[in-house]
Amino acid sequence: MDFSLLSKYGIPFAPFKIAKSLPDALSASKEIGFPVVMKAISPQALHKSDIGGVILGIGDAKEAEGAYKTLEQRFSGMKLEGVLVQKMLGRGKNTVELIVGGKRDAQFGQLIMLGMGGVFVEVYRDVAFRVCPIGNDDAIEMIHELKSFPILMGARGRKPANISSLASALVRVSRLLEKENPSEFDINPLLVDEHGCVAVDVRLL
Amino acid sequence: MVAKPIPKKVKNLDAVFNPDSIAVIGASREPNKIGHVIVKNFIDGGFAGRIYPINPRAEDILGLRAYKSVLDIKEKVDSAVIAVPAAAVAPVLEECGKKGIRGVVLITGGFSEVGNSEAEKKLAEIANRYDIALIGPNCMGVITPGSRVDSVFLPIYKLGRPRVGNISFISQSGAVGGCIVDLAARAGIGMSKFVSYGNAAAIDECDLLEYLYHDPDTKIIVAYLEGVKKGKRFLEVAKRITRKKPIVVLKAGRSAAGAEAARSHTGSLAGASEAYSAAFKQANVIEAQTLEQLFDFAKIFDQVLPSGRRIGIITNGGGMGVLATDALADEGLALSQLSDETQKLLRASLPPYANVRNPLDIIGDADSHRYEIAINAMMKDESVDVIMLIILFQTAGIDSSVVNIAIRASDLRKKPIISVCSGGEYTEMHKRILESYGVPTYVSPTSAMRSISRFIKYAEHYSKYNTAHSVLQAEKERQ
Repeated sequence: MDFSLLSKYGIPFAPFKIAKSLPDALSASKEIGFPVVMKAISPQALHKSDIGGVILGIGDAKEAEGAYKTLEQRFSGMKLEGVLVQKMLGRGKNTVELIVGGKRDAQFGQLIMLGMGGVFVEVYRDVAFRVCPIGNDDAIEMIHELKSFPILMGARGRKPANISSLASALVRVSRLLEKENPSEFDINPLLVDEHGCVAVDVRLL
Repeated sequence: MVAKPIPKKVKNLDAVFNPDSIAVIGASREPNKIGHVIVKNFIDGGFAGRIYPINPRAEDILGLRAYKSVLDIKEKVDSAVIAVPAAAVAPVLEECGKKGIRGVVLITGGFSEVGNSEAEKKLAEIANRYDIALIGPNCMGVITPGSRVDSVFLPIYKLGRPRVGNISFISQSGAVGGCIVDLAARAGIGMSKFVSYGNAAAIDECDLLEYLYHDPDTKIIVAYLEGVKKGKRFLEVAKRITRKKPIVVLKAGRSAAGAEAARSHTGSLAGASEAYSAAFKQANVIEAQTLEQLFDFAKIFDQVLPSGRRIGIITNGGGMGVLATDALADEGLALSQLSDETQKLLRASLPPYANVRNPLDIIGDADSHRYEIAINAMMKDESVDVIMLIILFQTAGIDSSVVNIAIRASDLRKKPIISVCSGGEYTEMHKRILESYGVPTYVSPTSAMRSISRFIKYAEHYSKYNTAHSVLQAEKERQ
């Protein structure tokens, strides 16, 4: 699973468990503590939310059972390898959704990307790229380069995001990219607020 | 950090740019042949060294004795230009090696650009065996205005040659390179070296950058690239060079990227152009988006580096001052707050209706003398890091003497002087004079401000690195 890769490189992520059956999913949910999120694990579910592969805000055991069954139903025609049960992180008023990614370039090797997240990333294209490896200074520069930088700095009465933990996460992702050399890589979203940052979903190709 | 020694073939580029003698292999008696134009350009351009035309079937070409092969020449030959058909290139290159020729410009095409990579590999092998600095194949040649070396096969009356200057320009494309050289020559911009390097079989863009980094006649490096051979090496070399000399790059082929369907978000957002732009940023390379910007950005580096980002604007037209202020804000630069002393001095020397704040409007009836007062005041004022001189030549009061005042101020090399002259033929004439004396001159406040902001950003990087470096150096010496 791609999350184990994050822990290997010290990139913080939301706690999760993988369930292969309904009883599994129920005990995982209780262990993690409600509210949770369930995500279908399937090779067909690349953009999971587009095909209803993600169910948010599961508040108790009864809802967990319903959610699991719904996923089974939605993926009845496809390969469902399991369900990922994850702690649902509250998006407070200071939370900003970012995307951090990587791509192998034929000329320069691994590129690292930082961008504003959300479903419209491709529309806004508020992104910054660097060639790996990057250091802390490069990471800070990338953060500065975003048009949305003022949002991270607490525009409109928000608390400023924890820039140093974000920079440190970027440097760690750069290390991951250099070592694992994936063709493409996404952490989407990476949530950041005044306390720190945490990866919610990750994909490695 | 210990610098790696420069490879011999890179050092041998000296023979390409500054030879004492040159052989033109494939020299021809027919005026329309490339081999004829090259010999003629060397003669007409005033090359002071020996010229040896090589042609197995001619006794003499353009009044010079012709030889069958370079091996028939008794004297030492530094450099050669080859313009023979592709199939004949390898044997003559081998002969160049045997003769001890250190630099070769290979004009001939028909190699990797048409899929003939094997033949090109063989050329590289020969060049590397003899440590020949081989430019090309499939290139347009080299111009060194200082030593009158000119192997570009376009007639001088069609393609203007630039004056001697300190910008060196490397171009992957011969056609684009030629256009830019022509434009630079007309604009009055000086060049140290121009090289169209074509397929880069043995000498690639990084080798050229490395050479220009060590070249005392090159202060500014300009590159037109379609791609680089080795990305990581380019990044390393460029990063090292920009600590000492600015590099301005135009990277063509940006749109082709991203055509391939990508599967992740990052994949869809990252094309090849993002990779290049990222690498340029990391190496502190200044990226131009258009041909115009390429030399707009480069020529400003003729001036002393600014010590800050506060701009003082002098204008004889209020509207231009407003446009300049808008452009300044767009680029995130600051307007100097002229000191009380400066304002007092200006109030005493300028007419009462002049606005003695910044932008300093010396009014439409200004003459050269008023420009002189304004420039002197801004030169003294600590709050001014860069002086922008807007001169509207259309007014009755302005004559050509204002050009001398601007040049004299620029020659003091105390603060950067950048001028803006917008207008027709009369203005253009003065613009060229300013340009040829090293005062970067722009057609609009916008293009000037855009260049100034690159200039300042580079200066900030330069001083940050070099200050830190000298502190470390001093610390080492103390120990």
